[in-house]
Amino acid sequence: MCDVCGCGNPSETRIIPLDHTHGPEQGPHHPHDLHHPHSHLHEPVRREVIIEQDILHKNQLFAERNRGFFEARGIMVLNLVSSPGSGKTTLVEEIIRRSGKSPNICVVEGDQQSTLDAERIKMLNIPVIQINTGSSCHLEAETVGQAAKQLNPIKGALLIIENVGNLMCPSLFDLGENYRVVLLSTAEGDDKPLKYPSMFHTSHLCLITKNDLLPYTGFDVEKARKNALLVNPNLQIIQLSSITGEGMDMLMQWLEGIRKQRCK
Amino acid sequence: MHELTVATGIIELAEATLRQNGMHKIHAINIVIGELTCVDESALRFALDPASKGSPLEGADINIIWVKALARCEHCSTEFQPKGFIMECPQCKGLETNINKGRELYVKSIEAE
Repeated sequence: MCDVCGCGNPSETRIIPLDHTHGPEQGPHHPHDLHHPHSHLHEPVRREVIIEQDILHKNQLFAERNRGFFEARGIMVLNLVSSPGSGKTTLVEEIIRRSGKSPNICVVEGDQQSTLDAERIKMLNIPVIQINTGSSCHLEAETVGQAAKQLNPIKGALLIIENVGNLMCPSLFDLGENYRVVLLSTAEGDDKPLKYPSMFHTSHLCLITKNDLLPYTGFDVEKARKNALLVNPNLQIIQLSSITGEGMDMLMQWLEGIRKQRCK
Repeated sequence: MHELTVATGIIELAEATLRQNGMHKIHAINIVIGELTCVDESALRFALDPASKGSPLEGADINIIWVKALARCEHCSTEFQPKGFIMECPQCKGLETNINKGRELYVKSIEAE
């Protein structure tokens, strides 16, 4: 290294009586030999800065904040996830209908566009907020938190978040929910848990919906169960139909159980 | 296209680090992604390109370091590389496993001046 200015070029050190000044493009000011044989274009200081921070940390922070809000109020939160058209909204309507005259339920609806789902829930006199995600394919914790605060659920409420219909992306985004519930309709195919495993892997409960369509779809329930348990052996599974009511009692019992657990 | 959200997160982290360190230009960014995160590399690169326009990350090298999944059987403690999300232990065929690696999704570092 040049020991006159430390520029990295080898040089012979010589003491000279003259000073000179670098131009602005030539780097730092220092006196040295005019005949000094190296370039004055010093290399900019490039260095590695260690970050090691989670890319989705912002969503995670909001999810934790939501969890604190829900816990403080004793609110039980479900995040319903599935492909579009698996029967999420119809299921929410049926849960509301079966929850008595004054159900303590609030709903957050997530869709790319429209307020159609929220309008259906509003018809049942249930507080509801619609989130339109626009170009985004999933709900995120920040907007869900804002919606939950606007809904202002009272102690012991059940908050149902109906995520955007998408069997992949929402699996990556924690919303602060207590339970993630994945719906798999008999019209979709029993191989879905193997094709979209991350959603089944991160869920607590799997609802096989549209059981009334079984005679027409060729859906193999046992195969679907086996596939779902292969990617998540702890997954609970309930088979139901929101239209005929088959299996709904079992779901309502499950809901009752988790709400009691929260109220303890 | 959750990769757009991931891309935005990367840019925000890079910008904040640059600012905190009084630097002005990013030459490269090193990102670590586990194979169980559902992040697609080509979709992420595709999203980063327009999202980084006008940011200090524009034109920087994007280095992605992939981490293979590694699971540990809860029954017999065998460590193995699962096939995607199917965590069947090759030793005892048990499905109860802990995932030790494969869920990473973070910015390791930036190379900047």
